[in-house]
Amino acid sequence: MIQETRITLKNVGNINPESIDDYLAAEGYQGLKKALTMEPFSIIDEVMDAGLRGRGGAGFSTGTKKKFTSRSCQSCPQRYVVVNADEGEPGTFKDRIIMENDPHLYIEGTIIAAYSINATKGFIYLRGEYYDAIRMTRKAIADAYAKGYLGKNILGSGFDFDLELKLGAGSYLCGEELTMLESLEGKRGYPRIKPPFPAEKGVFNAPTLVNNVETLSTIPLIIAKGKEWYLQFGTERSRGTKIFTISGKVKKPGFYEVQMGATLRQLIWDLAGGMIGDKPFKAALMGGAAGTFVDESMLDERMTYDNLKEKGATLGSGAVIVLEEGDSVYDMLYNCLRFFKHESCGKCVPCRVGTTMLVKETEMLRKGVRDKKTLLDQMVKEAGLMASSSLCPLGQSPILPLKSAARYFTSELMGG
Amino acid sequence: MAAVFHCIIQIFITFPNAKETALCTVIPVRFCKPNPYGNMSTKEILDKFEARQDNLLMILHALQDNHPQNYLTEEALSDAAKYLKLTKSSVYGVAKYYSMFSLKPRGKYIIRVCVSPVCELMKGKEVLAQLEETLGIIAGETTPCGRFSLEIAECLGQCQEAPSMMINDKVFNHLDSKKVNEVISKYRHK
Repeated sequence: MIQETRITLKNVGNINPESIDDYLAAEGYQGLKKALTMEPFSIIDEVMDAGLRGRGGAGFSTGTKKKFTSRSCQSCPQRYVVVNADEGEPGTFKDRIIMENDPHLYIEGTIIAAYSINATKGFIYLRGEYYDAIRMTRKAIADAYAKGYLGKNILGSGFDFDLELKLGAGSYLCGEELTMLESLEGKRGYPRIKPPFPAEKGVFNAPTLVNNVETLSTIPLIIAKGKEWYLQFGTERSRGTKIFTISGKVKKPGFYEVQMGATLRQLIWDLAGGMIGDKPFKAALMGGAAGTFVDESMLDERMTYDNLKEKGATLGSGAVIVLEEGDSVYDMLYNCLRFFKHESCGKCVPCRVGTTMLVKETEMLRKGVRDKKTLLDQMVKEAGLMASSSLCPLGQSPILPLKSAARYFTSELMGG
Repeated sequence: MAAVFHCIIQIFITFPNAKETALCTVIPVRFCKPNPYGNMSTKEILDKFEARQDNLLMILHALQDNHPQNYLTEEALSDAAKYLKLTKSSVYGVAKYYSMFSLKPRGKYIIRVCVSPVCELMKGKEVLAQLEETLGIIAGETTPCGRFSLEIAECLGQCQEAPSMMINDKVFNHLDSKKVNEVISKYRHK
């Protein structure tokens, strides 16, 4: 029986998110105070040694990212920090929980990140439909300015940092870092060619650090309490905790912060109360639409970035959508593929044509094609081609749910 | 007399949903959408933003929120283009790309129904069908009196309480047939 380990979510439900005084009373802005007395590079080292990896889905080392950004283009006059708050992965709502319940936490993390790479300007790119998160963030930024945590000469340290809120307008694709930067500049959300990475050429062609809300929310604690404290959580290669958002056919759907390395079985039965009506577990879609299906054989696998990758699954954003016996994996897959078709921006031909074809072919699986096995194999092959020939993660994603569904639920996809 | 008769016939041809039309005549639709900008002139709104291209999305949001019919007019797009010294086509291109922006008039209340995998798993399709039935429109349309627009939304991030929808900036969760009816009838008389 595991328990939650609430680090990032420690204030959620315990403080008034609209009150900066509440946040200060809960040891808020202590990380920033300490950070401002440290050398920027030692903050980067601290985060790196703590083993923090990006919580947006890719799991890249946060410290390394910072190091790249702080070192690239020394002659550039301006560096930026961009907060990726454009949460849109189906089944994911961890960032919304942080932004609505503890907005100062991620703002504090952003200021520390900015100080560590010497950025004097930052943007929060927040999803347009998240009205409550927008309201909370707007208030939090204003309060932080009023108390001197943002603006000129923060807490008398001589460090200046301005933070501006920008709103998205309904595009899933803009959650991808380079596309987000395009959108931030006031353009259509089309992906850019990588490299250069944002660390070299980000927003307005300047070195830019792009981090997810959950990642940034972890930084104040690592700085305030030290890396040794943080190293006690998680596993060797995947340190710390992860917020999982669990939904679907469980008794207590919601958000749970657990140490890295917990299993799906623990998450579903220990924390989420088990299956509704104690029906048998059938499958889970992990990581959202751009994630992978798993069946009961994966229930006891430790959920870390590397272990799941080895087993052909993904941790992604931490979304877990649970299906019970009788639910249709085919319908879920069809929904995901329709979603990709709708959200494809059309820039890369393989993705534009491919997402449409995959939807059509999925429909054909139900319309009595003679050789369904060949069709299914062909779909997986096409999705693979899309993955290798599309610029951004959207074109690279359909293969994930498709291949994993075909792996565990072949007969269901072909039947009916 | 013939003209009046013709007019009534015309109304019923244009607005086949008589129930909704009847409601419209009783309850006038007035502007009361909560937004930080109130009912301001385009110039007043533009002046709130620095003339930088990266403010384009914020400007379009503000202009759209300020319009009682929740959309971006031709004039709004050209004014924004002029203000930011961009071509009108590039501003149009941006407005057209993002699904939250509309280039045609919408209702006072925009209903966004979530159709994500989770909501579909939790019977979200029935919610959409019920809304279409109750309002007499299909997703993408606006009721004749301009009260409701029905739209499909990708994951609204409310998965722990699916199925979900939003009406303007309010979220409604745990939807079932009874709750949908309650919410809609409340907004009908708002």
